[in-house]
Amino acid sequence: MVLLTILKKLKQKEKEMRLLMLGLDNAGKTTILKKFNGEDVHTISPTLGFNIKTLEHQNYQLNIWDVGGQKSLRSYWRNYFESTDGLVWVVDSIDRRRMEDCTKELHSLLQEERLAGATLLVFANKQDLPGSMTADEIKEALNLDSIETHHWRIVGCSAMNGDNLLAGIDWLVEDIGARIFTLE
Amino acid sequence: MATFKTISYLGGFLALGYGALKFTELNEDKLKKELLEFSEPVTEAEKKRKLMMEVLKNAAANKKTMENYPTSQQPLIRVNKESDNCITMSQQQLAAFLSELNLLELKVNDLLSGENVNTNVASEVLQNLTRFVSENAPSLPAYELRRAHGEIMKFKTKILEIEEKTRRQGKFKFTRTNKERPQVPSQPIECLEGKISSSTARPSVFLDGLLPTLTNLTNETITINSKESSNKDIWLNNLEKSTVIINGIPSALHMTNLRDCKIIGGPVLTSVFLEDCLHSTFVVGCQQMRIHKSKECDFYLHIGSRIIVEDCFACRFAPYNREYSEKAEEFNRASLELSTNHWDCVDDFNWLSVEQSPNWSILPIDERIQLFPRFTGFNLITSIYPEYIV
Repeated sequence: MVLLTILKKLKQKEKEMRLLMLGLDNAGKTTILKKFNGEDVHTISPTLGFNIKTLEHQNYQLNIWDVGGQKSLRSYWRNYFESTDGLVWVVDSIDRRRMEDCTKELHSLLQEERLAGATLLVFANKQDLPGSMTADEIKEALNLDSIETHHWRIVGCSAMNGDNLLAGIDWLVEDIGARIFTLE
Repeated sequence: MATFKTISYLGGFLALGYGALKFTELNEDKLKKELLEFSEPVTEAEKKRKLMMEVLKNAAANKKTMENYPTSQQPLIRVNKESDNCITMSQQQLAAFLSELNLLELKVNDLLSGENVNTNVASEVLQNLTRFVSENAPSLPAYELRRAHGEIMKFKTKILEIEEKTRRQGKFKFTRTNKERPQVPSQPIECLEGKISSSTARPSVFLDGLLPTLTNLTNETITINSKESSNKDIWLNNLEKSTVIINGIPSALHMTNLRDCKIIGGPVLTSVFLEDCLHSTFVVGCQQMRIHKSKECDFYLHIGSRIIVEDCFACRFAPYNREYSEKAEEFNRASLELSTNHWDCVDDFNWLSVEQSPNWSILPIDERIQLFPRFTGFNLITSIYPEYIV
Protein backbone atom coordinates (compact mmCIF):
# COMPACT_ATOMS: atom_id res chain seq x y z
CA MET A 1 0.00 0.00 0.00
CA VAL A 2 2.79 2.36 1.00
CA LEU A 3 4.70 1.41 -2.10
CA LEU A 4 1.67 2.17 -4.24
CA THR A 5 1.31 5.68 -2.84
CA ILE A 6 4.98 6.33 -3.42
CA LEU A 7 4.65 5.14 -6.98
CA LYS A 8 1.62 7.30 -7.51
CA LYS A 9 3.48 10.32 -6.22
CA LEU A 10 6.36 9.66 -8.54
CA LYS A 11 3.99 9.30 -11.43
CA GLN A 12 2.34 12.55 -10.55
CA LYS A 13 5.66 14.34 -10.79
CA GLU A 14 6.05 13.20 -14.35
CA LYS A 15 2.72 14.52 -15.43
CA GLU A 16 3.78 16.80 -18.19
CA MET A 17 1.71 18.28 -20.95
CA ARG A 18 2.73 20.11 -24.05
CA LEU A 19 0.34 22.80 -25.20
CA LEU A 20 0.75 24.56 -28.51
CA MET A 21 -0.82 27.98 -28.88
CA LEU A 22 -1.51 29.15 -32.41
CA GLY A 23 -3.69 31.68 -34.20
CA LEU A 24 -3.47 34.59 -36.62
CA ASP A 25 -1.24 37.52 -35.78
CA ASN A 26 -2.71 40.09 -33.41
CA ALA A 27 -5.00 37.46 -31.83
CA GLY A 28 -3.42 37.88 -28.40
CA LYS A 29 -1.52 34.63 -27.94
CA THR A 30 1.42 36.16 -26.13
CA THR A 31 -0.90 38.28 -24.02
CA ILE A 32 -2.77 35.15 -22.89
CA LEU A 33 0.48 33.42 -22.02
CA LYS A 34 1.81 36.39 -20.09
CA LYS A 35 -1.45 37.00 -18.29
CA PHE A 36 -1.65 33.35 -17.32
CA ASN A 37 1.85 33.63 -15.96
CA GLY A 38 1.07 36.85 -14.12
CA GLU A 39 3.31 39.12 -16.17
CA ASP A 40 2.81 42.63 -17.48
CA VAL A 41 0.68 42.62 -20.65
CA HIS A 42 1.12 46.21 -21.75
CA THR A 43 4.53 46.05 -23.35
CA ILE A 44 4.23 43.04 -25.64
CA SER A 45 5.88 42.99 -29.05
CA PRO A 46 4.63 41.02 -32.03
CA THR A 47 6.19 37.58 -31.63
CA LEU A 48 9.16 36.97 -33.84
CA GLY A 49 9.61 33.23 -33.45
CA PHE A 50 8.18 31.78 -30.27
CA ASN A 51 7.89 31.97 -26.48
CA ILE A 52 7.91 29.01 -24.12
CA LYS A 53 6.61 29.02 -20.56
CA THR A 54 6.57 26.15 -18.15
CA LEU A 55 3.99 26.36 -15.41
CA GLU A 56 2.60 24.18 -12.69
CA HIS A 57 -1.15 23.84 -12.87
CA GLN A 58 -3.47 21.25 -11.30
CA ASN A 59 -0.46 19.09 -10.45
CA TYR A 60 0.54 19.03 -14.06
CA GLN A 61 3.54 20.63 -15.56
CA LEU A 62 2.40 22.60 -18.59
CA ASN A 63 4.85 23.47 -21.32
CA ILE A 64 3.12 26.17 -23.29
CA TRP A 65 4.50 27.08 -26.69
CA ASP A 66 3.38 30.36 -28.15
CA VAL A 67 4.37 30.66 -31.80
CA GLY A 68 4.16 33.85 -33.89
CA GLY A 69 1.12 34.07 -36.17
CA GLN A 70 2.48 36.37 -38.84
CA LYS A 71 1.66 35.08 -42.31
CA SER A 72 5.25 34.31 -43.23
CA LEU A 73 5.74 32.48 -39.93
CA ARG A 74 2.80 30.14 -40.41
CA SER A 75 4.80 27.79 -42.61
CA TYR A 76 7.03 27.17 -39.60
CA TRP A 77 4.16 26.14 -37.35
CA ARG A 78 4.61 22.53 -38.36
CA ASN A 79 8.03 22.50 -36.72
CA TYR A 80 6.21 22.62 -33.39
CA PHE A 81 3.57 19.93 -33.93
CA GLU A 82 5.52 16.98 -32.56
CA SER A 83 4.11 15.44 -29.36
CA THR A 84 1.55 18.18 -28.78
CA ASP A 85 -1.11 17.17 -26.26
CA GLY A 86 -3.30 20.23 -26.56
CA LEU A 87 -3.82 22.83 -29.23
CA VAL A 88 -4.97 26.29 -28.14
CA TRP A 89 -6.36 28.24 -31.07
CA VAL A 90 -6.67 31.93 -30.29
CA VAL A 91 -9.15 34.08 -32.22
CA ASP A 92 -9.38 37.85 -32.29
CA SER A 93 -13.15 38.12 -31.74
CA ILE A 94 -13.30 41.62 -33.12
CA ASP A 95 -11.55 40.96 -36.40
CA ARG A 96 -14.46 39.88 -38.58
CA ARG A 97 -12.48 40.83 -41.62
CA ARG A 98 -10.05 37.95 -41.28
CA MET A 99 -12.42 35.37 -39.81
CA GLU A 100 -12.42 33.46 -43.08
CA ASP A 101 -8.65 33.35 -43.07
CA CYS A 102 -8.79 32.18 -39.48
CA THR A 103 -11.20 29.36 -40.31
CA LYS A 104 -9.05 28.20 -43.18
CA GLU A 105 -5.89 28.09 -41.10
CA LEU A 106 -7.58 26.22 -38.27
CA HIS A 107 -9.09 23.56 -40.47
CA SER A 108 -5.84 22.98 -42.29
CA LEU A 109 -4.17 22.46 -38.90
CA LEU A 110 -6.74 19.86 -37.96
CA GLN A 111 -5.83 17.85 -41.06
CA GLU A 112 -2.34 17.53 -39.68
CA GLU A 113 -1.45 13.98 -38.72
CA ARG A 114 0.90 14.96 -35.93
CA LEU A 115 -1.87 16.89 -34.21
CA ALA A 116 -4.35 14.04 -34.55
CA GLY A 117 -4.34 13.18 -30.86
CA ALA A 118 -4.48 16.73 -29.54
CA THR A 119 -7.41 18.30 -27.73
CA LEU A 120 -8.53 21.61 -29.22
CA LEU A 121 -9.38 24.64 -27.12
CA VAL A 122 -10.55 27.73 -28.99
CA PHE A 123 -10.16 30.99 -27.12
CA ALA A 124 -12.50 33.68 -28.42
CA ASN A 125 -10.27 36.46 -27.16
CA LYS A 126 -10.92 40.19 -26.70
CA GLN A 127 -14.43 39.72 -25.31
CA ASP A 128 -13.85 42.87 -23.24
CA LEU A 129 -13.94 45.03 -26.38
CA PRO A 130 -17.24 46.51 -27.45
CA GLY A 131 -18.51 44.93 -30.66
CA SER A 132 -16.63 41.67 -30.40
CA MET A 133 -18.28 38.51 -31.70
CA THR A 134 -19.59 36.18 -29.04
CA ALA A 135 -18.22 32.70 -28.56
CA ASP A 136 -21.34 31.28 -30.23
CA GLU A 137 -20.95 33.48 -33.28
CA ILE A 138 -17.34 32.42 -33.57
CA LYS A 139 -18.31 28.79 -33.22
CA GLU A 140 -20.53 29.30 -36.26
CA ALA A 141 -17.93 31.28 -38.18
CA LEU A 142 -15.19 28.73 -37.60
CA ASN A 143 -17.55 25.87 -38.36
CA LEU A 144 -16.48 24.09 -35.20
CA ASP A 145 -19.46 21.75 -35.20
CA SER A 146 -17.98 20.00 -38.22
CA ILE A 147 -14.98 18.84 -36.22
CA GLU A 148 -15.23 15.17 -35.41
CA THR A 149 -11.59 14.26 -35.19
CA HIS A 150 -10.73 16.19 -32.05
CA HIS A 151 -12.20 16.90 -28.62
CA TRP A 152 -12.90 20.61 -28.76
CA ARG A 153 -14.46 23.45 -26.83
CA ILE A 154 -14.76 27.19 -27.36
CA VAL A 155 -14.36 29.64 -24.49
CA GLY A 156 -14.91 33.39 -24.67
CA CYS A 157 -12.15 35.16 -22.79
CA SER A 158 -10.26 38.37 -22.33
CA ALA A 159 -6.50 38.23 -22.08
CA MET A 160 -6.32 41.87 -21.03
CA ASN A 161 -8.28 41.36 -17.81
CA GLY A 162 -7.83 37.62 -17.50
CA ASP A 163 -11.50 36.62 -17.67
CA ASN A 164 -12.12 32.93 -18.31
CA LEU A 165 -8.51 32.08 -19.11
CA LEU A 166 -8.32 29.74 -16.17
CA ALA A 167 -11.63 28.10 -17.00
CA GLY A 168 -10.43 27.35 -20.52
CA ILE A 169 -7.07 25.96 -19.50
CA ASP A 170 -8.72 23.93 -16.71
CA TRP A 171 -10.99 22.20 -19.20
CA LEU A 172 -8.09 21.55 -21.57
CA VAL A 173 -5.93 20.07 -18.83
CA GLU A 174 -8.77 17.90 -17.55
CA ASP A 175 -9.57 16.62 -21.01
CA ILE A 176 -5.97 15.77 -21.79
CA GLY A 177 -5.53 14.30 -18.32
CA ALA A 178 -8.54 12.05 -18.76
CA ARG A 179 -7.20 10.87 -22.07
CA ILE A 180 -3.59 10.30 -21.22
CA PHE A 181 -3.24 9.72 -17.51
CA THR A 182 -6.05 7.28 -16.81
CA LEU A 183 -3.76 4.31 -16.49
CA GLU A 184 -3.96 4.07 -12.71
CA MET B 1 76.75 57.02 4.21
CA ALA B 2 76.80 57.48 0.40
CA THR B 3 76.27 53.75 -0.17
CA PHE B 4 73.33 53.77 2.24
CA LYS B 5 71.81 56.69 0.28
CA THR B 6 72.16 54.92 -3.09
CA ILE B 7 70.66 51.72 -1.67
CA SER B 8 67.64 53.60 -0.29
CA TYR B 9 67.18 55.41 -3.66
CA LEU B 10 67.38 52.10 -5.50
CA GLY B 11 64.82 50.60 -3.15
CA GLY B 12 62.52 53.56 -3.74
CA PHE B 13 62.74 53.22 -7.52
CA LEU B 14 62.08 49.52 -7.35
CA ALA B 15 58.97 50.06 -5.25
CA LEU B 16 57.72 52.72 -7.65
CA GLY B 17 58.32 50.47 -10.67
CA TYR B 18 56.46 47.59 -9.08
CA GLY B 19 53.55 49.87 -8.23
CA ALA B 20 53.35 51.16 -11.80
CA LEU B 21 53.40 47.61 -13.15
CA LYS B 22 50.58 46.54 -10.87
CA PHE B 23 48.55 49.58 -11.83
CA THR B 24 48.71 48.85 -15.54
CA GLU B 25 47.85 45.20 -14.92
CA LEU B 26 44.78 46.17 -12.99
CA ASN B 27 43.66 48.51 -15.73
CA GLU B 28 44.15 45.87 -18.33
CA ASP B 29 41.92 43.45 -16.45
CA LYS B 30 39.22 46.02 -16.09
CA LEU B 31 39.41 46.92 -19.75
CA LYS B 32 39.18 43.28 -20.77
CA LYS B 33 36.12 42.84 -18.62
CA GLU B 34 34.48 45.87 -20.14
CA LEU B 35 35.22 44.73 -23.65
CA LEU B 36 33.78 41.34 -22.91
CA GLU B 37 30.58 42.82 -21.65
CA PHE B 38 30.37 45.07 -24.64
CA SER B 39 30.57 42.30 -27.18
CA GLU B 40 27.66 40.40 -25.62
CA PRO B 41 24.17 41.22 -26.88
CA VAL B 42 22.90 44.00 -24.69
CA THR B 43 19.46 42.83 -23.77
CA GLU B 44 17.62 39.56 -23.48
CA ALA B 45 15.32 40.59 -26.25
CA GLU B 46 18.20 41.19 -28.59
CA LYS B 47 19.71 37.83 -27.77
CA LYS B 48 16.43 36.15 -28.46
CA ARG B 49 16.00 38.04 -31.68
CA LYS B 50 19.39 36.99 -32.94
CA LEU B 51 18.74 33.39 -32.04
CA MET B 52 15.38 33.48 -33.75
CA MET B 53 16.80 34.96 -36.90
CA GLU B 54 19.25 32.07 -37.02
CA VAL B 55 16.56 29.48 -36.43
CA LEU B 56 14.39 30.99 -39.14
CA LYS B 57 17.27 31.08 -41.56
CA ASN B 58 18.15 27.46 -40.92
CA ALA B 59 14.56 26.43 -41.32
CA ALA B 60 14.33 28.35 -44.55
CA ALA B 61 17.52 26.74 -45.80
CA ASN B 62 16.22 23.25 -45.01
CA LYS B 63 12.98 23.97 -46.71
CA LYS B 64 14.75 25.26 -49.74
CA THR B 65 16.97 22.26 -50.28
CA MET B 66 14.21 19.81 -49.51
CA GLU B 67 11.36 21.13 -51.56
CA ASN B 68 12.10 23.80 -54.02
CA TYR B 69 15.46 22.93 -55.38
CA PRO B 70 15.55 19.22 -55.91
CA THR B 71 18.26 19.59 -58.52
CA SER B 72 20.83 20.86 -56.09
CA GLN B 73 21.14 18.38 -53.28
CA GLN B 74 23.81 20.33 -51.52
CA PRO B 75 23.89 23.99 -50.58
CA LEU B 76 25.13 26.03 -53.47
CA ILE B 77 27.65 27.96 -51.50
CA ARG B 78 30.28 26.49 -49.32
CA VAL B 79 32.44 28.44 -46.96
CA ASN B 80 36.01 28.51 -48.10
CA LYS B 81 37.85 26.77 -45.28
CA GLU B 82 41.33 28.06 -46.10
CA SER B 83 40.39 31.67 -45.53
CA ASP B 84 37.99 31.76 -42.66
CA ASN B 85 36.67 35.28 -42.98
CA CYS B 86 36.31 35.35 -46.69
CA ILE B 87 33.24 33.65 -48.11
CA THR B 88 33.51 33.54 -51.83
CA MET B 89 31.81 31.79 -54.66
CA SER B 90 33.75 29.96 -57.28
CA GLN B 91 32.86 30.56 -60.91
CA GLN B 92 31.01 27.26 -61.00
CA GLN B 93 28.98 28.02 -57.91
CA LEU B 94 28.12 31.42 -59.25
CA ALA B 95 26.97 29.88 -62.50
CA ALA B 96 24.82 27.39 -60.58
CA PHE B 97 23.33 30.19 -58.50
CA LEU B 98 22.58 32.28 -61.56
CA SER B 99 20.88 29.47 -63.41
CA GLU B 100 18.76 28.69 -60.34
CA LEU B 101 17.89 32.36 -60.05
CA ASN B 102 17.03 32.51 -63.72
CA LEU B 103 14.70 29.54 -63.39
CA LEU B 104 12.86 31.12 -60.50
CA GLU B 105 12.58 34.43 -62.29
CA LEU B 106 11.16 32.74 -65.35
CA LYS B 107 8.66 30.93 -63.18
CA VAL B 108 7.44 34.18 -61.61
CA ASN B 109 7.29 35.82 -65.00
CA ASP B 110 5.21 32.96 -66.39
CA LEU B 111 2.81 33.20 -63.50
CA LEU B 112 2.35 36.91 -63.98
CA SER B 113 1.92 37.06 -67.72
CA GLY B 114 -0.34 35.20 -70.07
CA GLU B 115 -3.98 34.45 -69.54
CA ASN B 116 -4.27 32.73 -66.21
CA VAL B 117 -2.44 35.06 -63.88
CA ASN B 118 -2.08 33.70 -60.38
CA THR B 119 -0.69 36.31 -58.01
CA ASN B 120 -0.94 34.02 -54.99
CA VAL B 121 1.37 31.40 -56.40
CA ALA B 122 3.54 34.09 -57.94
CA SER B 123 4.09 35.86 -54.65
CA GLU B 124 4.88 32.55 -53.02
CA VAL B 125 7.50 31.78 -55.61
CA LEU B 126 8.76 35.32 -55.33
CA GLN B 127 9.11 34.88 -51.61
CA ASN B 128 11.24 31.80 -52.18
CA LEU B 129 13.26 33.76 -54.68
CA THR B 130 13.81 36.59 -52.21
CA ARG B 131 14.80 34.14 -49.54
CA PHE B 132 17.18 32.41 -51.91
CA VAL B 133 18.86 35.70 -52.83
CA SER B 134 19.09 36.98 -49.27
CA GLU B 135 20.64 33.73 -48.07
CA ASN B 136 23.29 33.88 -50.71
CA ALA B 137 23.70 37.65 -50.46
CA PRO B 138 26.92 37.71 -48.39
CA SER B 139 28.84 35.77 -50.99
CA LEU B 140 27.46 37.30 -54.17
CA PRO B 141 29.28 39.82 -56.33
CA ALA B 142 27.79 43.28 -55.79
CA TYR B 143 26.60 43.57 -59.34
CA GLU B 144 24.66 40.30 -59.30
CA LEU B 145 23.11 41.19 -55.95
CA ARG B 146 21.93 44.56 -57.25
CA ARG B 147 20.53 43.00 -60.37
CA ALA B 148 18.67 40.35 -58.36
CA HIS B 149 17.21 43.04 -56.06
CA GLY B 150 16.11 45.01 -59.09
CA GLU B 151 14.32 41.99 -60.51
CA ILE B 152 12.61 41.24 -57.20
CA MET B 153 11.40 44.82 -56.99
CA LYS B 154 10.00 44.67 -60.50
CA PHE B 155 8.07 41.51 -59.76
CA LYS B 156 6.75 42.92 -56.51
CA THR B 157 5.45 46.02 -58.21
CA LYS B 158 3.87 43.90 -60.89
CA ILE B 159 2.12 41.64 -58.39
CA LEU B 160 0.78 44.63 -56.48
CA GLU B 161 -0.41 46.24 -59.69
CA ILE B 162 -2.22 43.11 -60.82
CA GLU B 163 -3.79 42.66 -57.43
CA GLU B 164 -4.94 46.23 -57.41
CA LYS B 165 -6.45 45.88 -60.85
CA THR B 166 -8.46 42.85 -59.85
CA ARG B 167 -9.64 44.65 -56.74
CA ARG B 168 -10.72 47.64 -58.75
CA GLN B 169 -12.89 45.41 -60.82
CA GLY B 170 -15.09 45.20 -57.79
CA LYS B 171 -14.16 41.73 -56.68
CA PHE B 172 -13.51 42.84 -53.15
CA LYS B 173 -15.90 45.18 -51.49
CA PHE B 174 -17.12 46.04 -48.04
CA THR B 175 -20.37 47.76 -47.36
CA ARG B 176 -22.21 48.71 -44.26
CA THR B 177 -24.52 45.89 -43.33
CA ASN B 178 -26.00 47.21 -40.15
CA LYS B 179 -29.52 46.24 -40.99
CA GLU B 180 -28.71 42.76 -42.11
CA ARG B 181 -26.99 41.83 -38.91
CA PRO B 182 -29.26 39.95 -36.55
CA GLN B 183 -29.87 41.91 -33.40
CA VAL B 184 -28.37 39.51 -30.96
CA PRO B 185 -29.28 40.45 -27.42
CA SER B 186 -26.34 41.09 -25.15
CA GLN B 187 -25.75 37.51 -24.47
CA PRO B 188 -23.36 36.34 -21.82
CA ILE B 189 -20.27 34.72 -23.23
CA GLU B 190 -20.26 30.99 -23.23
CA CYS B 191 -18.32 29.98 -20.24
CA LEU B 192 -17.69 27.01 -18.08
CA GLU B 193 -17.93 28.44 -14.64
CA GLY B 194 -16.31 31.84 -14.74
CA LYS B 195 -18.23 35.06 -14.70
CA ILE B 196 -17.56 37.98 -16.93
CA SER B 197 -18.29 41.31 -15.45
CA SER B 198 -17.83 43.47 -18.52
CA SER B 199 -20.22 41.55 -20.74
CA THR B 200 -23.33 42.00 -18.66
CA ALA B 201 -24.19 45.49 -19.77
CA ARG B 202 -23.30 45.83 -23.40
CA PRO B 203 -25.00 48.81 -24.99
CA SER B 204 -26.87 47.91 -28.14
CA VAL B 205 -25.16 50.63 -30.19
CA PHE B 206 -22.03 48.55 -30.11
CA LEU B 207 -23.63 45.48 -31.55
CA ASP B 208 -22.58 46.30 -35.07
CA GLY B 209 -19.08 45.34 -34.02
CA LEU B 210 -16.09 45.87 -36.17
CA LEU B 211 -17.71 47.00 -39.33
CA PRO B 212 -15.84 49.74 -41.10
CA THR B 213 -15.98 52.97 -39.16
CA LEU B 214 -15.47 54.79 -42.43
CA THR B 215 -15.74 53.18 -45.82
CA ASN B 216 -16.00 53.96 -49.53
CA LEU B 217 -15.13 57.64 -49.40
CA THR B 218 -13.29 59.81 -51.90
CA ASN B 219 -12.02 63.35 -51.47
CA GLU B 220 -13.28 63.74 -47.92
CA THR B 221 -11.84 65.21 -44.75
CA ILE B 222 -13.17 63.62 -41.62
CA THR B 223 -12.46 64.16 -37.96
CA ILE B 224 -13.29 61.39 -35.54
CA ASN B 225 -13.75 62.93 -32.13
CA SER B 226 -12.58 61.39 -28.91
CA LYS B 227 -16.07 60.29 -27.93
CA GLU B 228 -16.41 58.24 -31.09
CA SER B 229 -12.95 56.76 -30.83
CA SER B 230 -12.15 56.12 -27.19
CA ASN B 231 -11.83 52.47 -26.27
CA LYS B 232 -13.13 51.29 -29.63
CA ASP B 233 -11.61 49.51 -32.57
CA ILE B 234 -11.60 51.82 -35.55
CA TRP B 235 -11.58 50.42 -39.04
CA LEU B 236 -10.94 52.63 -42.04
CA ASN B 237 -11.66 50.91 -45.32
CA ASN B 238 -11.66 51.77 -49.01
CA LEU B 239 -10.80 55.44 -48.78
CA GLU B 240 -9.32 57.48 -51.55
CA LYS B 241 -7.67 60.89 -51.48
CA SER B 242 -9.10 61.51 -48.03
CA THR B 243 -7.78 62.83 -44.76
CA VAL B 244 -8.86 61.33 -41.47
CA ILE B 245 -7.98 62.93 -38.17
CA ILE B 246 -8.48 60.74 -35.15
CA ASN B 247 -8.75 62.43 -31.79
CA GLY B 248 -8.83 60.48 -28.56
CA ILE B 249 -7.45 57.01 -27.88
CA PRO B 250 -8.96 54.13 -29.86
CA SER B 251 -8.27 50.63 -28.56
CA ALA B 252 -7.02 49.50 -31.96
CA LEU B 253 -6.81 50.82 -35.48
CA HIS B 254 -7.34 48.77 -38.64
CA MET B 255 -6.75 50.28 -42.06
CA THR B 256 -7.42 48.51 -45.34
CA ASN B 257 -7.50 49.60 -48.96
CA LEU B 258 -6.42 53.20 -48.59
CA ARG B 259 -5.22 55.19 -51.60
CA ASP B 260 -3.56 58.60 -51.37
CA CYS B 261 -4.84 59.16 -47.85
CA LYS B 262 -3.55 60.93 -44.78
CA ILE B 263 -4.35 59.42 -41.43
CA ILE B 264 -3.38 61.56 -38.46
CA GLY B 265 -3.93 60.45 -34.91
CA GLY B 266 -2.60 60.34 -31.39
CA PRO B 267 -1.81 57.17 -29.50
CA VAL B 268 -3.67 53.89 -30.01
CA LEU B 269 -4.05 51.72 -26.94
CA THR B 270 -2.87 48.43 -28.45
CA SER B 271 -2.13 47.68 -32.07
CA VAL B 272 -2.36 49.15 -35.52
CA PHE B 273 -3.05 46.83 -38.42
CA LEU B 274 -2.58 47.93 -41.98
CA GLU B 275 -3.23 46.12 -45.24
CA ASP B 276 -3.33 47.02 -48.93
CA CYS B 277 -2.49 50.69 -48.58
CA LEU B 278 -0.95 52.73 -51.34
CA HIS B 279 0.76 56.08 -51.40
CA SER B 280 -0.55 57.22 -48.04
CA THR B 281 0.79 58.92 -44.95
CA PHE B 282 0.21 57.78 -41.38
CA VAL B 283 0.95 59.70 -38.20
CA VAL B 284 0.17 57.56 -35.19
CA GLY B 285 1.39 56.19 -31.86
CA CYS B 286 0.90 52.58 -30.75
CA GLN B 287 2.35 49.57 -28.97
CA GLN B 288 2.35 47.22 -31.98
CA MET B 289 2.24 47.80 -35.71
CA ARG B 290 1.75 45.32 -38.51
CA ILE B 291 2.00 46.48 -42.09
CA HIS B 292 0.93 44.08 -44.82
CA LYS B 293 0.90 44.34 -48.62
CA SER B 294 1.39 48.08 -48.76
CA LYS B 295 3.33 50.23 -51.13
CA GLU B 296 4.86 53.70 -51.10
CA CYS B 297 3.59 54.73 -47.70
CA ASP B 298 5.18 57.10 -45.19
CA PHE B 299 4.91 56.47 -41.47
CA TYR B 300 5.48 58.87 -38.60
CA LEU B 301 5.41 56.54 -35.65
CA HIS B 302 5.73 56.41 -31.94
CA ILE B 303 5.90 52.74 -31.18
CA GLY B 304 6.68 50.67 -28.11
CA SER B 305 7.82 47.52 -29.90
CA ARG B 306 9.30 46.56 -33.25
CA ILE B 307 7.41 47.20 -36.47
CA ILE B 308 6.37 44.16 -38.52
CA VAL B 309 6.43 44.52 -42.28
CA GLU B 310 5.21 41.81 -44.64
CA ASP B 311 4.92 41.91 -48.45
CA CYS B 312 5.57 45.65 -48.55
CA PHE B 313 7.48 47.86 -50.89
CA ALA B 314 8.92 51.38 -50.67
CA CYS B 315 7.68 52.13 -47.17
CA ARG B 316 9.44 54.92 -45.31
CA PHE B 317 9.62 55.60 -41.60
CA ALA B 318 10.13 58.69 -39.45
CA PRO B 319 9.59 59.47 -35.77
CA TYR B 320 6.22 60.77 -34.61
CA ASN B 321 6.46 64.55 -34.79
CA ARG B 322 2.98 65.85 -34.19
CA GLU B 323 2.63 68.20 -31.24
CA TYR B 324 -0.62 69.01 -29.53
CA SER B 325 -1.65 70.15 -26.11
CA GLU B 326 -2.87 66.85 -24.62
CA LYS B 327 -0.07 64.81 -26.17
CA ALA B 328 1.81 63.92 -22.98
CA GLU B 329 -1.38 63.13 -21.11
CA GLU B 330 -2.81 60.95 -23.89
CA PHE B 331 0.40 59.00 -24.43
CA ASN B 332 0.58 58.45 -20.72
CA ARG B 333 -2.97 57.10 -20.68
CA ALA B 334 -2.12 54.73 -23.53
CA SER B 335 0.90 53.54 -21.48
CA LEU B 336 3.33 54.70 -24.14
CA GLU B 337 6.52 56.26 -22.89
CA LEU B 338 7.46 59.35 -24.82
CA SER B 339 11.13 58.63 -24.23
CA THR B 340 11.17 55.20 -25.93
CA ASN B 341 10.32 55.12 -29.58
CA HIS B 342 11.29 52.25 -31.87
CA TRP B 343 10.19 53.93 -35.09
CA ASP B 344 13.27 52.72 -36.94
CA CYS B 345 13.23 49.11 -35.69
CA VAL B 346 11.56 47.35 -38.59
CA ASP B 347 11.34 43.59 -39.08
CA ASP B 348 10.75 42.74 -42.70
CA PHE B 349 9.52 39.15 -42.84
CA ASN B 350 10.42 38.93 -46.50
CA TRP B 351 14.01 39.81 -45.81
CA LEU B 352 15.67 37.42 -43.39
CA SER B 353 19.08 38.95 -43.68
CA VAL B 354 21.19 41.22 -41.55
CA GLU B 355 21.56 43.66 -44.40
CA GLN B 356 19.12 46.50 -44.87
CA SER B 357 15.89 45.33 -46.46
CA PRO B 358 15.18 46.88 -49.85
CA ASN B 359 11.51 47.14 -48.97
CA TRP B 360 11.73 49.95 -46.44
CA SER B 361 13.90 52.93 -45.62
CA ILE B 362 14.20 55.84 -43.26
CA LEU B 363 12.42 58.93 -44.50
CA PRO B 364 15.07 61.58 -45.26
CA ILE B 365 14.87 64.46 -42.80
CA ASP B 366 14.32 67.11 -45.47
CA GLU B 367 11.32 65.23 -46.86
CA ARG B 368 9.54 64.92 -43.54
CA ILE B 369 6.48 67.03 -42.96
CA GLN B 370 6.85 69.31 -39.98
CA LEU B 371 3.97 69.70 -37.60
CA PHE B 372 4.36 72.88 -35.58
CA PRO B 373 3.54 73.01 -31.90
CA ARG B 374 1.61 76.24 -31.84
CA PHE B 375 -1.32 74.68 -33.64
CA THR B 376 -3.31 71.78 -32.40
CA GLY B 377 -5.29 68.99 -33.95
CA PHE B 378 -7.13 69.83 -37.07
CA ASN B 379 -5.94 73.43 -37.41
CA LEU B 380 -2.40 72.35 -37.44
CA ILE B 381 -2.76 70.35 -40.55
CA THR B 382 -4.94 72.66 -42.56
CA SER B 383 -2.99 75.79 -41.85
CA ILE B 384 0.52 74.51 -42.24
CA TYR B 385 -0.14 72.08 -45.00
CA PRO B 386 -2.82 73.31 -47.30
CA GLU B 387 -1.86 70.47 -49.59
CA TYR B 388 -2.52 68.11 -46.76
CA ILE B 389 -6.20 68.36 -47.40
CA VAL B 390 -6.56 66.88 -50.81
